[in-house]
Amino acid sequence: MTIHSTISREAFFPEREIIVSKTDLKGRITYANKTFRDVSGFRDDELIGKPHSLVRHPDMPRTVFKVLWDTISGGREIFAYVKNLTKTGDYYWVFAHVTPSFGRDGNIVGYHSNRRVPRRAAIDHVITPLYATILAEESRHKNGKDALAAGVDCLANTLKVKSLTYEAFVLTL
Amino acid sequence: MKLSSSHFSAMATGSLSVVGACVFAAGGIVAGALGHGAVEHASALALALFAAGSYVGNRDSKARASLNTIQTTCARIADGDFEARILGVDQVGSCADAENAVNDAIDRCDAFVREATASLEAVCRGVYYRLILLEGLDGSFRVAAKAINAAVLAQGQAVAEGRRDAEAEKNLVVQTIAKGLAKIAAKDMTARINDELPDAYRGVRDDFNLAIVEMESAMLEVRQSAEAIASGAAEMATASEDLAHRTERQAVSLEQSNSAMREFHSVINNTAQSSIRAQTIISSAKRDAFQSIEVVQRTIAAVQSITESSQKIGSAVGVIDEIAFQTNLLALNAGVEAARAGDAGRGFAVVASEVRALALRSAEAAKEIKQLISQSSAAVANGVELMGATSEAFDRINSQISIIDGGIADIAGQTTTQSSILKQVNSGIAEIDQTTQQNAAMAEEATAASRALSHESVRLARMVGEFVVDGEYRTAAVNNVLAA
Repeated sequence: MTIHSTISREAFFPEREIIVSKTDLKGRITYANKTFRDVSGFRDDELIGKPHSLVRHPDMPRTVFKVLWDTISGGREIFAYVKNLTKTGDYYWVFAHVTPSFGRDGNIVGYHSNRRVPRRAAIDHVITPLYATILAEESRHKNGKDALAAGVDCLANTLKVKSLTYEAFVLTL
Repeated sequence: MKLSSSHFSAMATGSLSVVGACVFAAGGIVAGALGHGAVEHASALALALFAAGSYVGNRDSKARASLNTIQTTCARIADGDFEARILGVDQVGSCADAENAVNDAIDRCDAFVREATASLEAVCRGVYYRLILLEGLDGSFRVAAKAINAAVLAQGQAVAEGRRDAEAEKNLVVQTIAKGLAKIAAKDMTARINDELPDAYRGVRDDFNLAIVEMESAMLEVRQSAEAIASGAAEMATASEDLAHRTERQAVSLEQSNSAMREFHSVINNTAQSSIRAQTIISSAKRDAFQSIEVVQRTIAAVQSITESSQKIGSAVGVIDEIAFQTNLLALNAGVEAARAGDAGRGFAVVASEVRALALRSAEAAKEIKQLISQSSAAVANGVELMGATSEAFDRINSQISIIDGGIADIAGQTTTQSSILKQVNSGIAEIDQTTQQNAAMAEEATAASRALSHESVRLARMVGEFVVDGEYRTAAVNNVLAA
């Protein structure tokens, strides 16, 4: 991890672009747009059928993905600041908007993610320290379940101090 | 610039026209999502694809396959299936460019639809900060997104303002009503809300005023009733005390009457006994009187036998007198003879004279006896007469004794009647006495109860008097009660 942090570089994408991907119900990539492929450095055939965690950066707390999956599998949208990994080991920040895709019968048939250029100030002043705190909290527990529970508590306490829902918090950064 | 499908069929071969129509359909969806302003953007995209398709279509079968994929994908998009994308796009090449362009168009439409949907759904939940993210949405997308965001913000602001206004109204109403209620809590029944309130709350204000008016008038009535009860209770207490006193006096009088009646009863009993004794005495007097009459009768009979004996004595005396007369005559003759017989007869002559003297003395004695008998007969006759009178007197005494006896018997009978009447009177008095005792007890209870009632009613009047009604209204009666 330390290696990533020290030698990896941050990649950027134009503000008018959207990184788009779709997954099936299990999180396996079913579609990746050109911007996604360009930024991440993966070819289409390297992405399709792979779990989305392929681009997950080790600095990301598991708590964020737990909250993300809990929300979208409940049929609701979620926003999240996410640090992603490129094929070369670099990273890029996105402001991810993940929504369930509904079939004609109203069932969730998959998930859709639009990732936009994030607000730099939010990343530098709020998200980076917050994720570091949560990650530290998670790493204090060997058991994965305990680590997740501790991380979720940590996030909940942060929101409680600010008297904000997660949605309001993430949208008003 | 506006194109129709007839333009496509005129300008291109069959398969190309299908691609064009398909892309145009995708553009149509975009137009549908964005409104009229988006049509030009979509049409330009369709033209570009058409040109690319026409170039590739003439090149090779790979291009034909790519166009087929584009056609199928666009058909799905036209059906509203935004999950459709062209997969397996090459890294480079004209086909890849076209396919990437189609995917990009769909991605942005998809993004717009998802954003607009989420933002408007948030509005439905009362969330107004979930705006459409403008990044990646350009041109008409951005115009439409901004319009929607502006609408969401305006709606949020209106809701917030409405909420603020409602809150302010509510605060005003609560404060106003609280003021009124505070007055009521301070027992001021003249409290009214005259402040102007928002329309929706005028009913509450009117109801409040109506309720307090009703309460005030009820309180007035209660107050008047309390006064009436207090004065009635006081009167009752006085009357009960009077009744108790009178009942006590009545009990004393009754006790006196009772003892007089007992005395009277013993007097009547004495009278009864006296009359019984008198009856006994009268009976024995009666017997004595009867016995006296018998004695008188026997006396009369005895006197009558004396009369007979006197008559017999008289007739015996007559015989003696006769004998004395004859003896005298004989003595005279003997003397004459003796005188003739001279001396021989001298002694005889002395005897004859002696006999003659005796005869004379006998005759005189007989005469005297006759006289005595005559006197005795007269006395006896007188005695008989007196005896008859005595007998008659006894008869009269007897009959008078009978009358007296009857009178005493009457007295005895009446005394018995009196005694039994007196018993009834006594039991009547005893009953009256018991009733009087009960009355006394009840009068005592009534006095206690009416005193308690009087006390409570004063308390009630005082409590009710604490309520302010109709500008310090207070009657003299209430003030008197409170001063007491």
